[in-house]
Amino acid sequence: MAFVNLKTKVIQVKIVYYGPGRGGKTTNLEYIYRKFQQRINSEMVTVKTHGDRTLFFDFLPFDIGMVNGYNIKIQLYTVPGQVKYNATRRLVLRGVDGVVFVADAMAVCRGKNMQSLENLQENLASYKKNLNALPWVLQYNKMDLLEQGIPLLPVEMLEQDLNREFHAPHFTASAVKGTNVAATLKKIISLTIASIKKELL
Amino acid sequence: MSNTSKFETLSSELESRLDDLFREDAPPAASAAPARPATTPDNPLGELKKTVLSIDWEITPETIDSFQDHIRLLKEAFQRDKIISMFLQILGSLGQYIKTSRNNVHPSTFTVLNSVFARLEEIVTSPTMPAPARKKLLQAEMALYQDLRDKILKRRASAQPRPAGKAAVTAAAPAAPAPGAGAPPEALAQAIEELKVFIRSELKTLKEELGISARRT
Amino acid sequence: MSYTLDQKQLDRIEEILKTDLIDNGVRCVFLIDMAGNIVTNLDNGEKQHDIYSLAALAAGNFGAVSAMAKIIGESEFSLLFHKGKKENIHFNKISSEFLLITIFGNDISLGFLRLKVSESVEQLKRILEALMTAHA
Repeated sequence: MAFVNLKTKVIQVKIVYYGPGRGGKTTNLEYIYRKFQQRINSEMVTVKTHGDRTLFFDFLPFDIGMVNGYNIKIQLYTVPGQVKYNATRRLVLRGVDGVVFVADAMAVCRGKNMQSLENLQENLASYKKNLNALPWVLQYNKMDLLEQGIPLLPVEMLEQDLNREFHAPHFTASAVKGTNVAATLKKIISLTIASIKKELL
Repeated sequence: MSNTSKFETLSSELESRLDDLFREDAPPAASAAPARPATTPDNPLGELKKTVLSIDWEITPETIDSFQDHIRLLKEAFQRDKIISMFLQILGSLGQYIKTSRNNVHPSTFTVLNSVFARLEEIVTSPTMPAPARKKLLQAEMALYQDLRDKILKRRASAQPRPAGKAAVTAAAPAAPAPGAGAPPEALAQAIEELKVFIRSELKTLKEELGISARRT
Repeated sequence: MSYTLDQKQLDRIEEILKTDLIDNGVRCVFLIDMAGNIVTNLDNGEKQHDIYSLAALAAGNFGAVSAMAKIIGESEFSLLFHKGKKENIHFNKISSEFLLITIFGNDISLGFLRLKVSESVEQLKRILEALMTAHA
């Protein structure tokens, strides 16, 4: 849960990027880090395998600055997407305040997306949390592959598969190009801060 | 101002902050704090304790040598105290055994080492402890020490069926020699011989000085 | 990168782990790669753990701690060990690819365990390095 220090007037908010393996979670963070590094002035920590797959998490902390007298610190995490790292994913989800679900829009990944979303719900349940009560957004990633002729799932199908009961905000994106990466992030931060408004007022 | 309008102000402030952040320069960040060195209290066994703790964490020739050096120094310092001298003698033998056995050291050696040291520390830090209590502590540790010696001999007997001096060797099934690098059997046998000689002589001294007739098995 | 261990190599590895560690009182030992895959595991028959989760978490933990080392200016830490009330875990890097994780009780001192582990690691290195070179 959001960590509020009433003495120092600091709020720490944890946002986790979740989704199937190789879907673009790390790429999102890498884009943010690369593009806005000078502005957010932070270092990104990655714990990867030799094959460049996330092993534990990627971590990017940064300050938004003062809002309503509070210094808001955002902590972005990604989880390892591969199925075998479920225990690790659960660990990283601990204390989460907001989630970005990065779905892989490639047609061949349809099943993986749904499996991963189900897995997210299971892991959230272990902390007595659920997607109906948690700020989250969907990102349908890899839209750039369309121009390469790779079959992608239509947004309507992705919405039907993943979002029909939640109606969470969604973005089509290309993490590798940066399209809608910042927009996704801004949205999840807004939603997450809104959810802890009581602490801020 | 109502909560709703307060929140609206907050939201718009946040939105413009986010827009700025992901467009313009933002304020920089933090720093770290230095650490302070720890100090150790004065204690005659202080340096020895450090080496014992080191051995508990890591067994290297350096830690063992350091351990033995401190034992030597303490033996000189406490030469007039028979009980403490004997504790130090036991510790010294254990150190020597660990040094010569290296990778083949018996795992229980360290439990015994820690126990002997703990009792020694108790005695040294309680100068008003009555003599019978001190003797009792020493006897308990000597028993542990002999127990360890028996275990070592038993283990050696089952690994390599060869007579070790006067010790009885149980007939063991032919066993493959223990794999991996280790001290040569002769060094181990010598260390055990030294232990045996020491125990015999110290028990004799103990009996004479303390007037104890019963022998612990 | 991929590697394949044949039965003979696995048997040899298990023999080393059994003789040096399990027979000396270690409760459980597993050899994993840095991605958290289990190469082999042995235990003394007393307790069964969820070794797959343990392996993934161990690899993640080791990876995270290595990242911490670099932040503070160390190339790596020489000791990674967690002490519990009854059970303890020790990590040892065998090479850039493999980790040896041992779970042991308080009847074995850490110093003794480290002694035996380094002995095992020397032998395991020889087997595993030859393997990595062959598949490079």
